[in-house]
This record gives sequence, structure tokens and C-alpha cells, in this order.
Amino acid sequence: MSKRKFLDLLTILLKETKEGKIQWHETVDEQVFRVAFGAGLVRVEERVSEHSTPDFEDTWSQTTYVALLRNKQGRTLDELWSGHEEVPEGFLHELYTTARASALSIDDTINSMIKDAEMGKTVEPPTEDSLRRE
Amino acid sequence: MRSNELPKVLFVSWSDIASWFSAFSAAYGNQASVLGTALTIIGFILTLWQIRKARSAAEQAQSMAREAIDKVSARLFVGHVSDGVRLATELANACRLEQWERAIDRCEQLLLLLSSLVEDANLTTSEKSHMVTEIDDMSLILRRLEEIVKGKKAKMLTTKMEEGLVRLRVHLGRLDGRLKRAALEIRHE
Repeated sequence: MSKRKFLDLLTILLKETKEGKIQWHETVDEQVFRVAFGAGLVRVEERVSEHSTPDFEDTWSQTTYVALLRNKQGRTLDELWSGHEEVPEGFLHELYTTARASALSIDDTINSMIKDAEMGKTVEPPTEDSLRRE
Repeated sequence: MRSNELPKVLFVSWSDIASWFSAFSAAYGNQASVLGTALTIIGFILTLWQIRKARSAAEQAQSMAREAIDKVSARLFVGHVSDGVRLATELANACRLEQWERAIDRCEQLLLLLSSLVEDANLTTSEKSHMVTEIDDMSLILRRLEEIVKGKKAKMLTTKMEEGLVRLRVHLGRLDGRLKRAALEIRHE
């Protein structure tokens, strides 16, 4: 029941983030983003784990997307991960990329660059002469 | 006179009392009931006054007790915040010296401390929301430290984690300063 409810919350978060109504934030971990509310926060993260055969001849990495529901005291109340039976395929990956784009303001940066590119406006890197003059 | 008859002076019968009461009521009934009512009202007012007095004394005692508890909890809170500053500094030093087990210990203690402080009434709303994100950041730093000890990650904190630790120390230091200033102002008054 609680997993279903948490999934509902994540679905709302994805929709609202896409509409620009919710802003995600960076954390101290570059692969983790969060959004805080009065009662706690939701964290979404990308976890890459390395695996190998017992003789280490073959190695591979596996990426899992995880969403955590945490209360104010930092206790994890619920957790969903890609591959969980209740999570639709690709859902957490989409949420992660949307949250990342929101936290890093990727769309704004790209839009600004598109505008500059269309106007042919570029910034030249400073030359040694210009630096000396300054 | 027969020996089993008692003299009337010694024995007052029920009918005597009843007839005396009806004669007394006829003569003084109205005055007595007015006086009785007046006395009842005065008694009632006195009782109400006593209840109110007792209640206000109880409320005063309760507010004094609450004030004393607030003072003690504020002092404890100042102590906890100072502990937080010390733990965050020790954690940063342990990471700098690559003493990872020690860093994990300090990080766990700091996490416990922050989670006990986050709902404290001495914090402002903005300080509380800062602390919620700091608790989350500390849990990510703790995870990184555990991965370092297990040999899963490079033996260092990321730049963002180091910056997060600095931010936490600045925040706790500022909080410590505010609380100590407030305590000094109260003493000055």
C-alpha cells in the first residue's frame, strides 16, 4: 500500500517538475537530487555498481535508479528502485533525468545558448594581451 | 403520677418541635428565607473567588515551571549545538588525515545529534529547513565514507562533499553564535 502511495507521489512530482512547478536541488553527491517538503524530502539517485565474474575475466556495471522518501530526522520511510515490480519500466530513469535537469537548470542554460547561437553571439576566450591590459 | 411516665420538662416530643417550628416560621419565615438566600449567595461568591484564586495560583506555578524548563532546554540546546560544531570539525580533520573509521564515527554522532535538534523550538523555520537538508547531506557523506572503508570508492571525499561539510560548520557556527549572543542578552537584562 505505502509503495503504491509513494509511486503516486513520484508520478505527481514528475508531472509537476516537467511543468516547471517544482524545483529539485543538488546534494553533496553529484548523482543524487532532492526536493524538500514540510514533512521531509524525496531523493532520487543513480547508483552504478560494478560486477565481475569470480575469475575477474569479465566485468560489467549495472545502473539502478532509486527514489527514497525520508522524514525530517533523516529516516528512510520508503524506497523504490528500477526493477521493482510496482515501478513501470523507465519511470525512475525519467524521474532522475528530469530532476537532474531541474536542479542543474539544464533547460535554461540550453535555451540561453540557443538564443545566443541564433544571434551569432559568442564569447571569445581572453587572450594574453587582453589579460595583461586588465 | 405513675412511675413509667417521664416528666414533660425532660421529654420534648416530635409534635412539640413541629409546632414550635410552624410558629417560628409563621412569625419569622420571610426574614429567615431572605437571610438564608443572601448567605447562600455570599457563600457561592466566596467559593467562586476561592476557586479562581486557586486556579490562578496553579496557572502561575505552571507558567513558572514552563519558564524554568524552557531555560534549561535552551541551555541544553546551546550545549548540543557546540557539540555539533566540534563533531563537524573533527569529521573534517579525520577526512583530511584519511582516518576513515574515525570519520565514520564522528559522522554517525553528528547525524544523531542533528536529527535530535531538527525539531527544537529554539530553531527558526529557515534554520530547521537548512538542518533537514544538512542531515540528508550528512547521510550521503556517511555512505561515501563507508564505501571508502570497504574499498569501493577512492580514498577521498568529493569536492562537493567537502564544501557541504564547510557549509555545515558555518551554519552550526552561526547558530552557536546566535544562541550565545541571545544568552548574553538575557543575562545582561
